[in-house]
This record gives sequence, structure tokens and C-alpha cells, in this order.
Amino acid sequence: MTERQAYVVDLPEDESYSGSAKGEPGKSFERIWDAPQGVRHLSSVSHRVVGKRFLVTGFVFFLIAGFLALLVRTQLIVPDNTFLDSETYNQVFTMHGTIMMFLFAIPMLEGFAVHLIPLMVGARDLVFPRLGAFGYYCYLFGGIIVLSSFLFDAAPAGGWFMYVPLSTSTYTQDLSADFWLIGITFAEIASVTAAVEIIAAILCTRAPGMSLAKMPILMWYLLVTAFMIAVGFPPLIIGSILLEAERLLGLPFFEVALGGDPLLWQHLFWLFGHPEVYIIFLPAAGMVATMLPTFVGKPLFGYGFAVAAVVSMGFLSFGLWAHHMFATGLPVMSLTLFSAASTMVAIPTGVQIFCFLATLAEGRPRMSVPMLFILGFLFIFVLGGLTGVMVAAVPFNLQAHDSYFVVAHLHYVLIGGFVFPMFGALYYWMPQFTGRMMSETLGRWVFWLMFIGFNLAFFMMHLTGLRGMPRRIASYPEGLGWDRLNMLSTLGSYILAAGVLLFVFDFFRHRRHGTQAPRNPWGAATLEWLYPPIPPGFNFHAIPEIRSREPLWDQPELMDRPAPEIDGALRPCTDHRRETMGNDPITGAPLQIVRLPHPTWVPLITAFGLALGFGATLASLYWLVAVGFAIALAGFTAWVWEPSDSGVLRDSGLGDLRLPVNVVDPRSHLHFAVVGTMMISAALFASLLFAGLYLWNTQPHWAETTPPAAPLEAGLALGVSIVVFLLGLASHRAAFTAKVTPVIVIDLGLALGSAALGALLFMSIRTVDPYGSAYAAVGWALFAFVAGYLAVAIYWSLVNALRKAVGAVKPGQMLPNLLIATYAKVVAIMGGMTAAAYLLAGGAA
Amino acid sequence: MTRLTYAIAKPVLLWALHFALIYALISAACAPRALLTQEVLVVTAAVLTLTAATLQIFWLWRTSSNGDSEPQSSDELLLRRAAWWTALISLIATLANLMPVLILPGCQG
Repeated sequence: MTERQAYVVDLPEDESYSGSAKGEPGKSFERIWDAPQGVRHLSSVSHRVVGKRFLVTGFVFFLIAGFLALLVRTQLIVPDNTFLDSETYNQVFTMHGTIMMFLFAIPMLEGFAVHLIPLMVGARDLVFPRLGAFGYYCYLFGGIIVLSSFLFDAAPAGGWFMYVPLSTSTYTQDLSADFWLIGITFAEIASVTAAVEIIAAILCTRAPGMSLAKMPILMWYLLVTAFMIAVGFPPLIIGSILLEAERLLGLPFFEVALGGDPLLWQHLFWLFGHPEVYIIFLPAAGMVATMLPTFVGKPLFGYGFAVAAVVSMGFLSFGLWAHHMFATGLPVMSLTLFSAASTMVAIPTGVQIFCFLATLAEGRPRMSVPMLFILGFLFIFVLGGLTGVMVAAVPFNLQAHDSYFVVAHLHYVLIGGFVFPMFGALYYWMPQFTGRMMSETLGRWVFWLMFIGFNLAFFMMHLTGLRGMPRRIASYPEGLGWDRLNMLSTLGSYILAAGVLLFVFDFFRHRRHGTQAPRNPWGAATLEWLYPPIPPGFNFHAIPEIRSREPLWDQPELMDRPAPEIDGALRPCTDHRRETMGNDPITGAPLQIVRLPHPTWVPLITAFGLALGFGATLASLYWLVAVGFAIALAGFTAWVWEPSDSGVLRDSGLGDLRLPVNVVDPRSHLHFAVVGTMMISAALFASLLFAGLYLWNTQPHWAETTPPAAPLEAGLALGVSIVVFLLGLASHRAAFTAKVTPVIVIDLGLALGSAALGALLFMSIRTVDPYGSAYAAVGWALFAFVAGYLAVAIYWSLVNALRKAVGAVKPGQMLPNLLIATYAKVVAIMGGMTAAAYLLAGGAA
Repeated sequence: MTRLTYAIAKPVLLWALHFALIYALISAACAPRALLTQEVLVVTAAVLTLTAATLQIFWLWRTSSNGDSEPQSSDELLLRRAAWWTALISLIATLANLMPVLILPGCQG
């Protein structure tokens, strides 16, 4: 056996750990997958339940933010209006943007992803159901925190971008900015956990035979989106933590008088903010690419082109962030670089749009309601893309900056690029959620009201902007040529809102009176329509082998018999556990059987603990913060203290193929999750390093006058980081050995090494006053960041050692050592880089 | 298939690295610390771009020709097509990264 191969123990089935420690003998397959009823429904972790929760909650936030938008438009309907005072107006437009971007768009796409991924790739559930449920509760509690600011008359009023210095405690003395920073950062936990989950689910739990090239195109879009979230959200998380630390602790990250720089906030915000637009747009485009072939009756034109386009957009969209900062005085050469990249991203976007148009040209599309929304998307988004090319040009951008032209552009992109496809997707996949069809007639009314209302509202804004009307003003004098245009925009917004309300009416109507959806009601080609869409608790009795990208069109054996009779993997429910197939990430060949958790309260309790901690921070009740985080820690411990099911072989149901359960292999879904988590961690760390480098480069005086960290301790820390890295390598090898007890030494060594590394880094930086300069504060932030990761390494290593010591780990069950190995190696690199930064940075002592 | 999957990501990863380096060079030359002169900026950026573009052209050639001339599955052909297009898009975008440095006479245009 080589190191790359799985360590499995082929024991007879009556051996003590060859079954399942947490099976539910006596329960049938259907009962095992049943969602719990009553109040216990809150303990459900099924992707069907969690996905619907995301969608419903996201849509409620959409309605709230839409209502706020109507308040804005009502205020602007006539000149010199006094409907809202300027402070309330600021709160309303800030909360509109904040809710739409953070609490509606991202969670909606997460809802679609959580619900659809398992059904489309042939899995019985998402790969980490508890993580999905935990993410949802974090999002819900974070959203409630942000929204509750209205109750305390402390709604954020500084714009959805929270620019400094306006949002520092000097200029925003109440708690409004804290509500934003804490609530949004908390809600973002859902986004990053979703990223990890999406990556691992798509790469590791596909149906047998579903290679990367046979995945539904939406999976490519979601995969790229998940990687973008993993890299794109960390700069904002770091920026928010730094700003909250400045507000709460007085650390001078953005304080000009102490070498800070307000532009640093803008860089961190837009490093997130621009990719965010693509993070919202790409899944919506993926849904269009999924729906379009159904209504045309032909496969998507240029699957390979679309893959190239989406991968290219995923990267190129990161080179655009400073085009939101063209008017801030950056060097013209920098502006031109970002202008060039902004223009270049139009190439893959165009390739993708032409794929859609060519697909349309392949057949005569059925003009059902989702198809109307697809056409609406194409019309509106292309216009938004074209004005995007206009504002990518520096001279035009400077002219249009902060005018209503930009408001028009961004709404054409976001409503065209996300809201229209989302409504199409809701109509298309509604049978999956409710088992019933929505009304075609009402749907057409919804579309036309939204389409006409939208264009009336926002096309006018191009003209208002070109006539010089600035954004974010609460009123305007009459006679400047803006009156009639604003009136039309407001009327358009009311028509748009009427369309949305009609959709809501139809939603409630169809729950009672909608026709029952038949099996595959649209005649689609993708796997989610394999079963009749009357929602069962489970996805697949047997997971079919996949030989085509359009399985329901090309594999007759899938549609010529009742779905429960279709042949496939894992039909026997031997161990009475929820389980699904695990695959090789590239080829889709079967690799393992993945055991999935049953309903549990742990995600809710853990998220509640965190919410308590975050909420109590707002109220400055620090004892309650400690209680909250203690609850969360207890929750995480209960989460990880699971009996292992690794190390056993089971029949797969595919011929004679026997597969290991929860395999110890770098291709394991858990290992992919750790890799994804460390990618997020590396992006967080890189954001902090960027902050340090930025201040070093733009504020050289402060960098030179900040005292250096202690070099001896920093040098020793560098050495210890190498030791921790080597221990990570040893832990990797140990995961594949048969002897359990000796590995305890490696676990304890990792804990000790991590503690030593943290202590040495502290000894090195302790002489530097964090309040002395922004540069010094970033040095301390680096220490705090690495120390947090080291604390997790210590805790995790000790848990691993304890589990071995009490006999909870048997040969073949040392997957946690493989996982912590990757974690420890990345943390060691981050610790080593911090030590190196301490050695190199700083000026006169 | 694994090689082809990496072939899709490699060119755009190289673009990202190239973009970051050009941004860093411009920042080094144009920020108050002024680490680089204009001449050093132009020469370094040109060398970096030449290197990156050469690699991307090589990948473009490699994905356009079936080097090992063995019959390929439809999956492989599809991934090869995706890799060719990402290489092409990345090449154009990499050249675009250099344009500001070549065209503008100085940091402030």
C-alpha cells in the first residue's frame, strides 16, 4: 500500500467497528431520511430543508430591501420632498444596499446551491449537512442583528460600503456602524461555510461516472463561484474586523494622524466588492445555462466555451476592484491597469452570452415564464454590460462618478444579471420546492410588470445621471431637468414592485390551488427531475450511473420506469445510516461511501452561542460574550466528537465493487473541506499582509519610525514554524499507519509546537506599542490572527490525542491526522511568514 | 483528464500572478516610497510579460494539437477546448496588463 492509497480494514461484518456506530436499526430507508416534525424540524440538517430556509429567508429580506427602495424612490418622486428627513434617507438607502447585497443575493444563491447541488450531481444530501444548517443559522442571526438596528434607532447610515473615516467612532458615535460590522461579518460565516460545502459537494459526491466534463453546467458556475467566495470574502472580513477593532479598542488602522490610510479600507472593501458582483452573477448565469437548453430542446451550445468563460471570469473579475476607486487620486498608471482588466473581463462575458444566443438559435424556444425571464435577463444584462465597458474607461468614469448613471449601470447589471434569472429559476424549480406548478398566466403578468417597471425606473437614471444628478442626495431643487425623469423612475419602481407582489400572491395561491407537477414537468435533461417532484425526504433510492451530460435525454433506462426502480449504487441500506457515494474529483469514479449525519441540534446551539457572543459585544456585556463563545465551543466539541466509521468496506451495489466508508485519502471530502478552509484562511492572512505592505509603501515615514519586533524571538519563531510544518508532514504519514498509540506523540508534538510558536511570536511583538501607529497595529493583528489559528491547532491536536487515548480511534480511522496535517502545514507557513515579517519590518528601535 | 483540468486553470492563474506583479511594480514605482524608477518599471514589466505570454502561447499550442496523438474521449476533447479558450483569453488579458506601463510616460500619465 502506498501513502496515497486509502487505509481500509476488510473485516467481517460482525466485527465491532465494521457497522455503524450511529445507525438506526429497525428504521427503513424512507424513515431514516424523514425530516423531523414539529419543533424538532429545527434540528433538521437535510439540504432540502436548509435550502428552502435560505430561499425563503433570502426572499423575505428581498421584500424588506425592496420596500426600502420604494421609500427612496418615493422621497425622490418630486423636488424638495420632505417625505423622509435626510438622516432617515441615509439609513434607508444604506440598509437597502446592505440587505440586497449581503442578506438577499448571496443567501439566495446559497439556497439554490444547497437545494440543487445534491439533486443535480446524484447525491442524497449535501456533503456537510450540519455545516449547511450552521451556516443558515449564522446568516439568520446575523441578519436579525443588522435589521434590529432599526429597533434601537441605530440603523447604519454610512452607505453599504461603510467608508472610513465616516464610519469611525469619531464621525459615527452611535452603534450603527457596529451593528453593520458585527452583523454582516457574522452573516458572512454562512457564505464562507457555503463555499467550503459547495466545493466539497461538487468535487466529491457525484454520481458514479459523472466526470467533470459530464457535470451539469451549473456545477461549473457554482464551483467557480465557491472558489471566488473563498478568496473574495476574506478581504472584507479582515477589513470589518480591523474597523471594528479601531472602533472598539482604538487601534489606529485607518487613523491618518497615526499613519493609517482610509484608502486601505476602500482597497479591502472593493477587493471583496467587485468579485461580489460576479459571485452574484455567475450562479444566475449558470441557472440560465441550465434552463435555456430545456426550453430550446437542445444541449447548451459550446459547453467547453462556457467552462472557459466562467473560469476566466472567476479570475479576471479579481483584477477590477480599483475601478470603484478611480476618483480617489490613485496614480493614473494604476487606474489604467484596472481599466484594462475591466475591459478584458468583457471577453469571457461575451463568449458566454454568445453561447446563450447560439443555443437560442439552435431551436424554437418554448416561451414559458422562465424563458421570458431568460430573455429579460439577456436584454437587461447586455445593456448593463455595455455601460460597464463605458464606466471602465477612466475619463468617462470620472465624469459619471457618483452620478445616477452609475446607479442605473449597477442595477442593470445586478437586477438583470441576478434578479431576472432568479425569478426565472424560482418559476422553473418551484415544483422541486412545493410539488406544484405556478400559474403561467400570472407569471406572464409578473414578467411584463417587472420588465416594463424596471426599464422605466432605471433607464431614466442613465439620463438623470448624464444630466448631473448625484447619488445619495435626499432631495433636489426643481428646474434642473431632473424632475420628470425622477417622476418616471419612481412610477417605474412602483410597477416593478407590483410585479413582485403579484409573484408573492401567486406563490401563496399555488400552494393550495396550483396543479400537481408531473415527473419532469419541463422536459429537462438534468438529474434533479429524475423523481416526481412531490418532495420526499430522500433523493435517490439507488444512485444511477451517469454516461451523459443530459442523462434524462440520453439514458432511456432512467425515464422508462418508475424512479424508485432505477438501478444504481447504495440501494441496500445495510447499516441504517444516511449515506451517499463519494467519487474521484476528476473522473467521477466511485471512491468511497460517505456517511452523513442525522438530524441534530448541534448546529443551532453552536450558531446561537456565536450569536450571543456577537450580540453581547454590541451591548458591551463581555461576560455574556464569554458565555456565548463557551456555548459555541461546547457545540463544536460535540460536533467533532463523533465515533468514526472509517476503516470498513461495504458493497457499493455496482457489480462486485466494494468501497471503503469515509476513506482515509487526500481525495476524501473532508480533506477537500480542509483544503477549502485553508484557502479561505490563506486569503484572510494575505489580506492582512496586504494591509501591512500597503501601509509600508504608502506611509514610509511611519514604517521607518515604528520600532521593530524583537529579532531573536522572531528568528526562533521562524525555526519553530519549520518544526510545526515537519510535524504536519509526520501527521500526514501517520494517518496511513496501523498503529494508533504512537501517533499520540505526534498529536502532542503538534500541540506543543503550536503553543511554542504562538509564545515566541508574542515575545517578539510584545515590545511594539499597538497604539503607536497603524503599521504597528497591523503587526499585532498578524499576531492575533496566527495565534487564533494556533489555538485551534492546539485544541484539535489535544482532541485527537484524547480520542486515541480513550480508545475511540482504531486502525484505519486516523483521517483526522490527515486533516490536521494540511491545517498545520498552512498554519506553520503563516506563522513563519509572520515571523519573517517581524524580522524584516520596522525602522529605528 | 487530470492534466487537462489543470490546463484549464493554469493560464488564468498565470494571468492573476502577472496582474499582481504588474500592480505591485506600479505601486512600487508610483507610491510615496518610490522604490523603482520608470525605466526599471518598464523593463521589469516587459520581461515579466514576455515570460508569461511565452508560456501562455506554449499552452495554447499544446492544447490546440493532440501531442500524444492517441484517440481522445469526448470528455477529453471538451476539456481541451476549454483549456484552449482560457489560454487565449488569458494571453490577451496578460498583454493588456502591460499596456499602461508601455503607453503612459509616467505614473501620472
